Amino acid sequence: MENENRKRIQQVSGKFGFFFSALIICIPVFTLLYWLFFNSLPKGFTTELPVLTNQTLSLSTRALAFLVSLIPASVAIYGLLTLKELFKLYQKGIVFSAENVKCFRCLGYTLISWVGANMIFILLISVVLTFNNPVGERQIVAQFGFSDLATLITGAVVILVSWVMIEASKLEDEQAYTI
Amino acid sequence: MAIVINLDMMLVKRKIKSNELAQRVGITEQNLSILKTGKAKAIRFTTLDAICKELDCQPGDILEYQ
Repeated sequence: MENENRKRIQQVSGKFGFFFSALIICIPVFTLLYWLFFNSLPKGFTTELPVLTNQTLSLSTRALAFLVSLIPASVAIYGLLTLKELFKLYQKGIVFSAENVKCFRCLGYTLISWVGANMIFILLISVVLTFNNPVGERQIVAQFGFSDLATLITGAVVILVSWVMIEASKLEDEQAYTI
Repeated sequence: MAIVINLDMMLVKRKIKSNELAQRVGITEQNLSILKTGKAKAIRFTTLDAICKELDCQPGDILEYQ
């Protein structure tokens, strides 16, 4: 029964690992494509932006917007790389080692960093997208919503879980050296 | 740690090889090696019982406090 559960963890972790690898490639590619074809995107795709842009954006503005978008994207990629590493450990059957603890701690800090990165992104993207507007219509937006608070709390909880994992890794170590 | 494992000495006395003891006791050779080298953090009573039975000795012959 215990072995079956371990096998299941290993199998599912392999699939998750593949999914995270795909996302690591997709995020920068889709970010690039998004800004490259921004002018021809349907309206629904641009509603997530903090400022409304009805005008067509120049190539330099879109390039700048792409660079700004890389700030949260890089945090997301770092988080996905950590997740990939964690699930690789699960795939090998390592569930409570010091490396697992490290991954959990990194994930917690990544979630907290994500909120900061997202705030910087909103701040900068609002400037980039409205910089060419006439004077008086340029905007700078700062946002901190409920979802940001929830992410911060989740990050703190994940860091706490990493502390609990340290105890679990000690127990596994003890178990491994009990003959 | 002040607890010393004298398993090697007992194996020589009884003229039993490590792999043979591991097989008889029902533990892996790797685990027996952990025990012999003093890396083990604990030993189960069942393991100690089986080792004493196979080597025909007392726990004190294997474990020593220095």
